[in-house]
Amino acid sequence: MSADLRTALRDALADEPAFSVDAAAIADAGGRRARRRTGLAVAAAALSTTAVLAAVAVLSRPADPDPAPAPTEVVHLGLDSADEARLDVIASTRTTWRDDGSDEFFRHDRLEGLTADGLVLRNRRTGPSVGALLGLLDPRTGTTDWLPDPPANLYGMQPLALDVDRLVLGVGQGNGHSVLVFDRAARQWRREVVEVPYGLEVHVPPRLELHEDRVYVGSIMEGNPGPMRWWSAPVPDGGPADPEPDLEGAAATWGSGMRLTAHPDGRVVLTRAEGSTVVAEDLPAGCERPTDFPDAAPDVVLAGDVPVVTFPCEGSQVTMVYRPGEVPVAIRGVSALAGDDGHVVLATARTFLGALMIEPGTPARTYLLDLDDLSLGRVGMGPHEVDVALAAGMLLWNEPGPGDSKDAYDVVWKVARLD
Amino acid sequence: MARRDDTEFAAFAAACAPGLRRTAYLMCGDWDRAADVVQEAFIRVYLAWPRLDPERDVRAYARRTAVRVAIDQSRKGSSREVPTLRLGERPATDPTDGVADRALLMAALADLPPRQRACVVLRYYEDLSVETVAEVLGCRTGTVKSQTARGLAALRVAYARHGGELADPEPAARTHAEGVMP
Repeated sequence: MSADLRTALRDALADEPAFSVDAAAIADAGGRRARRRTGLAVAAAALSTTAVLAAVAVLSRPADPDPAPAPTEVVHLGLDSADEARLDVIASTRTTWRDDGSDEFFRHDRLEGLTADGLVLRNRRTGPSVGALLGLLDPRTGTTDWLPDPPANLYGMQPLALDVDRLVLGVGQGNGHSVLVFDRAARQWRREVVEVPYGLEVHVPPRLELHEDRVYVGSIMEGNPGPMRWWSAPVPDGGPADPEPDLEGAAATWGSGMRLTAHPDGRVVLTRAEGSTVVAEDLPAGCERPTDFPDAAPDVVLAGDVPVVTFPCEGSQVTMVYRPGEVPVAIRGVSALAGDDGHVVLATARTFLGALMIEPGTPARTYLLDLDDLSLGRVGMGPHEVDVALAAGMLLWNEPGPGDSKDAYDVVWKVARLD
Repeated sequence: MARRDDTEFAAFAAACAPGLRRTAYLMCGDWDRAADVVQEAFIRVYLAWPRLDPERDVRAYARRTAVRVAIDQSRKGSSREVPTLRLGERPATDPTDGVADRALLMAALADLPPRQRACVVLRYYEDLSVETVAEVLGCRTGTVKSQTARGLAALRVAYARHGGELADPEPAARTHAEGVMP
């Protein structure tokens, strides 16, 4: 039996029963649904309760056609549906420190990011008398190309853009931030100091974002758990950062030609050059703003053009995935850490201003969500550190090593190919 | 509201419904459920009707909506497809019989994840290009290619189990113009 697929597909329709569509019934049903939606919207506004419609896609120009069906419900994805992810680990490092007074604290070997061309940003320090070195590890060969000494201490380093032609890193704390730019062709570093006002929260690193030629710094103020505030400065050049009042209170991230913002009240907006789209208007159903920090901004990730927002809720968190034209997906108890065109990395650890909040004794788990079929894969324990990334068809994550305990630091970083 | 002409919508629905239901059937494996998919898709099209641009392809919008409704329904699992032939079983009837062939194909399709199945149906039943399938499914072209390849591989395995062979599909014959309903 040899079959041609096209022929087989057409033959499969051979027993097609008669069918006619009742346009009048469709019009009636459509009219009822439209009236019901209107009624629900009015009721929701009047009662000021949690959202009845979890998300409503509203184009900024209502005269335009809506290219996708408006989602009116939510798909709940449970963590118990996750299978063990089968990952082919192609690179790994490990750092162990024992609290025994030795100088181990000055040694580390971490993997901190993935470049667009499939290399791994490696950060290694071999002892107290030398600074940390950065290198690009090629997982195909196992060799590391160590870069010239960086022009600044790497304390609080955050990769902002790891492109084919340049690496852009944010470093520093408080009001002393620098942007380090490494020209990969010329193999030269450049450092730009970005001055933000005194008084930023120093115990949690700020959220740093790079968009086009500006670096954005988002943080709350020290001792004042108020709204998120943003400043920005040009790169290169740096200098005093300008306030960004339009972003006040919101979490923000930038993707290719778009900006995603999410507000503590649940409003999520995707802005492109042609206009803005309200992705969601309210907090997810069942999510109440945390009483101890009601102005806490959500955490935002752009997985390609898919907005992914983690809302802090009283007692837990909810991550919402808003795929264009699809019913929104809600996953309770996890935070989104990274995304690419087809995946999102989630972890049961809570985040605060984009930073992981690891609570000792609370084991976390990492998951990989496939945006195409909504399958969840477990990616071991962890994370222990914030270094999680998706790029170039690879996943970078970390998890506690076998010796990790309250008396010893033991973390393993791993990189795997996703295909 | 000029576009919200019920007579015009009725004519459009009557013209599109048979083709949409065939695609929906290949997506879900049940003619009654396929009719439900088409019904739901038309309700959504009706709601969007006043905003749809007559200069743009309203039929393509209807197809995109129907495919997404079919995928959503298969994910919800409330009406899980029960294939008449379990893979791994030999068909009781003569394998050259057309009924057995159809049962084998539909059973193999039923085991594909919804998006893989949609890729196979849209690429090889509707003969849509990779780019158009990506637009219908709202994903990247690379995803369409990988999902299609995985779907074809699974179908080949299913056929091989029954001593059959699924030939590599020829390049699109373009029996249907892009964006036009069959």
